[in-house]
Amino acid sequence: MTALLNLDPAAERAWAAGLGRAFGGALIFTFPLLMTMEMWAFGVSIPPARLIAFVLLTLPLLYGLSDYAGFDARRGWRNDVFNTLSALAVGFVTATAFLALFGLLGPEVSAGEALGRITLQAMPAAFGATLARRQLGAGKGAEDTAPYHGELFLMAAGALVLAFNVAPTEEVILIGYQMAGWQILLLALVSIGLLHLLVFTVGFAGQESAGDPGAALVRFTLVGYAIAIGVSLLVLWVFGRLDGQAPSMIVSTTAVLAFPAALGAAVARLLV
Amino acid sequence: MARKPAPAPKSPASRPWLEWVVAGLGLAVTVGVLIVLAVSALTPASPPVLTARAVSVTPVGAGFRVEVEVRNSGRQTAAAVEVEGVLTPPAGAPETATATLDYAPGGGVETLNLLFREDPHQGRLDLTVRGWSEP
Repeated sequence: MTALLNLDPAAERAWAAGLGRAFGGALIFTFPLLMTMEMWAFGVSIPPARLIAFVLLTLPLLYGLSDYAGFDARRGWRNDVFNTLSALAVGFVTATAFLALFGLLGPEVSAGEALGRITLQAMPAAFGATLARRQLGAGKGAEDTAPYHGELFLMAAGALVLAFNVAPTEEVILIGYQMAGWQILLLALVSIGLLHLLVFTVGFAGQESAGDPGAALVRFTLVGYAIAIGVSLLVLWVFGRLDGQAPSMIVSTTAVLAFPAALGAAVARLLV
Repeated sequence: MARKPAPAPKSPASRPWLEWVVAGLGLAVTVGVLIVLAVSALTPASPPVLTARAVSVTPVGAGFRVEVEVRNSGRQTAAAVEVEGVLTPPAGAPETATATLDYAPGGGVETLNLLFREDPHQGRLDLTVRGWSEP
């Protein structure tokens, strides 16, 4: 590759700055997860096949977010692929470095356990790395012109961000146990109501639907809640929270996690 | 996803060298992790097989600390592994100590400690794994 021979110091420096920002984003994004006990245990308890599925599902999300945020303003599939791979590198390095610093990769941790721990943390870290430019830099992404499917994609990303931070904890299950049927129904309605309100306040729906609440309800709120439910189910499945559960328990746990997921979907523009 | 026209369109040839390195690292690590995970996913799972053995005995304030190594030679992880040590001194009643491991990962070794009043060197120490739960 001739690219390797042509060194442009300015371009290298600019990209290095973006890389530094990506590390910052990765860390800010994952430190709650790095410091969550359940996440360490999941390193051993999640079956490898499920971890593979999780990584493979994260890749298209990272790719899509690269188009929206990314390390720099360049676009196009080639840049998005490079962005995704770089974000993964940043994610793995950040997760490994801080798990090691916290003493969670010591000699008593088997290789398989360490790999599970790192991989599970590296994915959200890669997420943070991709979003760093929007979070920590002044860069503007392409979201202002995002079409409908782009908005839905952002909603899914926002839902995943918040759901993933809550899902590993025991509390999601415990809250599900504590709630009566009517409370779960009420929580679902509150989630939908807040989602609708926030979609309007944050102006997610775009100007054309903001004038028509009915259309926004169907186009964004209800679809957004469905996305929140889907993301919640996925995250719960990855963490093995649905294994061996009765259908009623699956419904209540999902409704509990769909609450933060719906909030995440609603404020996706602020989050991602 | 819609995109704005790039402000400064660069040809792929001018991609920073650093980006090649970092992206290459990302590709290598991700593919490597997926391969390792795939290999372990394809290896048939075997239930935990747990054995406990004493590694060292250290005198402490009120007695003796026995460091116990718990090895899981199965491939599945065991959680809440309860280990019991019974020390039968040459004279007197046997003494029992227990401790619980949070996790014993498949193919891994974990360490726990048991405390006894009598010196384990002077009697017979039996270490037993009493049970565990699935993680």
